[in-house]
Amino acid sequence: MSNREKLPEWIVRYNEQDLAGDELHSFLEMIERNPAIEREVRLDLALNEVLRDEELIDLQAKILQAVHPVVRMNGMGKKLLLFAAALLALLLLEVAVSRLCTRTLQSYDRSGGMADREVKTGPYANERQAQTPLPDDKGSKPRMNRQIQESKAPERSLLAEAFRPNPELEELVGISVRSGYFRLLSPVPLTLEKRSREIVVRWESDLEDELDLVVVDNRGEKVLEVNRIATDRYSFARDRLKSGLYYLKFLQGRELISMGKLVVE
Amino acid sequence: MDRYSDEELLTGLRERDAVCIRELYREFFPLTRSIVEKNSGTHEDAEDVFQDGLLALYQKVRSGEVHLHCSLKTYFYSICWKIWMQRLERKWRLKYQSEFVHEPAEDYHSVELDFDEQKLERTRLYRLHFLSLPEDCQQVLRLFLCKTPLKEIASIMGFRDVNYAKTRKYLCKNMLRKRILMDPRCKRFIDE
Repeated sequence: MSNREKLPEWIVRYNEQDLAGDELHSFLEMIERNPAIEREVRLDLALNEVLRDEELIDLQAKILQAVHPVVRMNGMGKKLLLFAAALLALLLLEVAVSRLCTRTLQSYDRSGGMADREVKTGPYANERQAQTPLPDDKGSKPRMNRQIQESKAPERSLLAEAFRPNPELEELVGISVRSGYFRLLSPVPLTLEKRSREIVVRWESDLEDELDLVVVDNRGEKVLEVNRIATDRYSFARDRLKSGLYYLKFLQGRELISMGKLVVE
Repeated sequence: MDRYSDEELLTGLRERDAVCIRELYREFFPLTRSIVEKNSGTHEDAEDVFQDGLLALYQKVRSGEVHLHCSLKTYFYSICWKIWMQRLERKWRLKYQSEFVHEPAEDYHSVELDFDEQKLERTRLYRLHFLSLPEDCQQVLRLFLCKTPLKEIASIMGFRDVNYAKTRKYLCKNMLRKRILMDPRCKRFIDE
């Protein structure tokens, strides 16, 4: 044990005149080096004097009880209080979690404008693929009162979720990852209008081999796969896709040639 | 409810009877608060002055120095008045000028009192910190200060041996010192 660790003991023993020899010598050296220790020694001595008067300590405790009474409960009372406190805590937690969920969903609803992205490599290096903003019903629909708006918020939030861009897939949109020419011609514009019954995907390319087309939703889950497309187009019924944002993966073998995007309203 | 007589209150105080102490608080604290708050003090100051006043009164009662020639209320009022005025002067919160001091409305006797106001405050704070220690620490220190034999302390506290009893004493005392050293209210007492 170092001298520093022995200090609390030495202070007490010094005032009790129980310190001697090397210990006393070391302690006095410490005091000389550090005046704060001397203050502690004096404080300890003063404390001894104060604490010896048990009657005053007892009186002070009783005065404190009179000035700041502490309610003492029996065992059952404590249990009931603990139970009530636990219930209250659970209730508050539930309210907090519920509010957090609502706020999170609302923030998804509000966010979601797609930024314009510039294609940086391949044949599309000098092209910009315009991205269509998400459907926004604020301008077209009449204002609802607050109560109705609040009840529709969760429903809108779920719909909005389907249109949320997938960051990983967004990075690949418009980029040709293989040498050779590939250009997506339709669906352009990317947002499919409601009256369209058919989705037509067209492209132009100098790639000789057949292509595979995989359509994934914004969570990356496959919704459609068409293999070995020999022509430069493919069409399918609009009904096959629910409203939302989709990515069109053009593959050769297992390699990604290019990525397109489609919004179905 | 029957009021306690001054004699009953003094007896109860001498015996440190909890009921009597509560009665003293109920009866005399509003008076103390009035003195302090009308003279630059806060509610907290009033509580401190009341405690110090009661402790000072107790020490006089214990030593047989109290000979009432006035009501106990008057006597206690004088104690608190003196404590607060000395404290104000010492702390320089308000320079003692008669025009700024709200004198009591009634003709309270000026009682001769001799006590060290600063010592009252210091010892109160030290005791407060002692009472804030864990129960076992308080008990260990009490036993040591009463010069209880080490073996008996170890037995009472359920310690494995006398060395552990000593270690606990050093640790508890150290804890008490640290608490006091960290209290800004105690700083001036320690630095002097």
